[in-house]
Amino acid sequence: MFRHLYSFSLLISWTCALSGSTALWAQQKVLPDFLASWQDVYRHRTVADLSAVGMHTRYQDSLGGAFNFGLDHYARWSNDTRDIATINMQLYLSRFEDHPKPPPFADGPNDWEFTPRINTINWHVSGDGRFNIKMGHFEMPYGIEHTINSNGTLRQFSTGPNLGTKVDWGVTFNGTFPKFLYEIGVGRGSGMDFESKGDPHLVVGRIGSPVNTQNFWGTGETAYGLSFYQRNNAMGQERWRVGLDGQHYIGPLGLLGEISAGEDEKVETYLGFIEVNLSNSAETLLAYTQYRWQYKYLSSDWEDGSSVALGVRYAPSDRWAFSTQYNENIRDLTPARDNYMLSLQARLRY
Amino acid sequence: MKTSPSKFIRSICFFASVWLLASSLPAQAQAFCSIRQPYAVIQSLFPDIDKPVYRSFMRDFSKESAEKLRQRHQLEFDIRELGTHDIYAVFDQKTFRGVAHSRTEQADYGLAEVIVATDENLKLKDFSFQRCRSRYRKQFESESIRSVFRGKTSVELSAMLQPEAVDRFLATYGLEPRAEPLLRAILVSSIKTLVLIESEWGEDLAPLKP
Repeated sequence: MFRHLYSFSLLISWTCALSGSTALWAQQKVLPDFLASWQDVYRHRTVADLSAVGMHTRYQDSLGGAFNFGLDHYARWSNDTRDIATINMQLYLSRFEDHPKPPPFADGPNDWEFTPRINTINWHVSGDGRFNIKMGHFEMPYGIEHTINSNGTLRQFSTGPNLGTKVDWGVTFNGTFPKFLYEIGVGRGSGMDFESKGDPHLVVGRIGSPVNTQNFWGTGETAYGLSFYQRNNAMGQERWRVGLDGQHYIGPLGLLGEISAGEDEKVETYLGFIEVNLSNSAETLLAYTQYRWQYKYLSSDWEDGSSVALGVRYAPSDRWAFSTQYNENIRDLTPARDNYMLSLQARLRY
Repeated sequence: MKTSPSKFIRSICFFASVWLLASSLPAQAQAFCSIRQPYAVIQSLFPDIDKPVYRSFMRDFSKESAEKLRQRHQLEFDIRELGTHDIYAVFDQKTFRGVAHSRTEQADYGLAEVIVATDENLKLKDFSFQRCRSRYRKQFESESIRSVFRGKTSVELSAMLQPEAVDRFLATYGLEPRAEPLLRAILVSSIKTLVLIESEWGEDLAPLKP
């Protein structure tokens, strides 16, 4: 395992080094012509991303950990007068140590995993941004999560029991019009790994306000969205949702919310999410509280579950970010031990 | 279930080593400014083009370049402004019509992302907000205020940054003194755009200019 690990880290390191150097050489005009012209049509930035998360829970004696090291590659492929495609590549290596709540793709609380996050090529078909075709491992265009860049951070917007899928392999059609933006995707339905067994599939989409959707701090202006999701998993179980999300900002306060309704194998379920946050004017410090709620018909009666999260994030530069978050279930949908999770994260992007 | 402390420490050591290795490489930090929905923005800033198309040019803005511009133009750059940035060259069919670029400056209640557009001669054409939490946003988006900035050069915009000019501007347009941070954010974004386009993307744009 370690042999593969070192090979992988070496590969990443060399790619980072070369990507940085070629950009520098091109600027200093020491590249051969054919390589310099390649820099004209394929502009990119590649960032090494390293994160360490420590987790503490009520019932686990030892500290749990999640370590991620990855390469975040973003590029635009252009000709003389237009952008042809945008490429996103996020390849990560993750190590989980006594993880109290390991992600579904991990083989238990102690595991090494290669995790391709978002890996897509978005073809700008119409050239005016109204119609693009995105292919690859895409993030679900659903709900408030779609409007905020929370990749790799403690602050998340998806409610665990809602979609059950954060990324999937497939194709989306997306674009921006003056009054709205849209993204509609068809996916394999197998989530992180591509798996055709059982013939899973999903359809997902969102239409919403034409706002900045790639900022961690939120859109900064009032925005709404309407989403849908339908998935059949490998066991033939069906899940569908429709969701409405919105966000609004008053001075230093941000108010974000999402409500979803649907069925899990013909069982009605309703989910809600609210966040209230406060940020400083330099946007280096963010404090937030989140409330998640689920209402579901179980066997003979309606049951509800809820949880609360409190978090702080300090990012003195675009390279460093330090975060902490406290999560606790207030009420369990199905009987479970009372528990909390306190997480601390240090992250470097270079 | 329980992992020995040495295993945990070993993982930390391994990732710390990779971390150090990554830190020794040339900085490629995430771009601080970027236009997120280029088409919508470009269409609103270039309403005279029926179906605008664009292509982007990415460049690294280094600490050394920032220092040169600081000395030459008295412009201060935040550490988050260094790194890879892009501009969008806008075309009507195949005719170059100008540039759009995003800048980020601190305003009231958060960072204001200002999209600045130039005409084909690289003079200020217009601006809009990609993201702005200031309560004065709507007033600055009015046609009467935006028209004041049009056609200005970086020297003329710098003159508007002088304290007495700022006071005069706020009084003329009936704006509260608390609107000053956003006015300064717009002026500084516009000046930086005009100066940076010339210094960092001059070579890219030279073949496109009329």
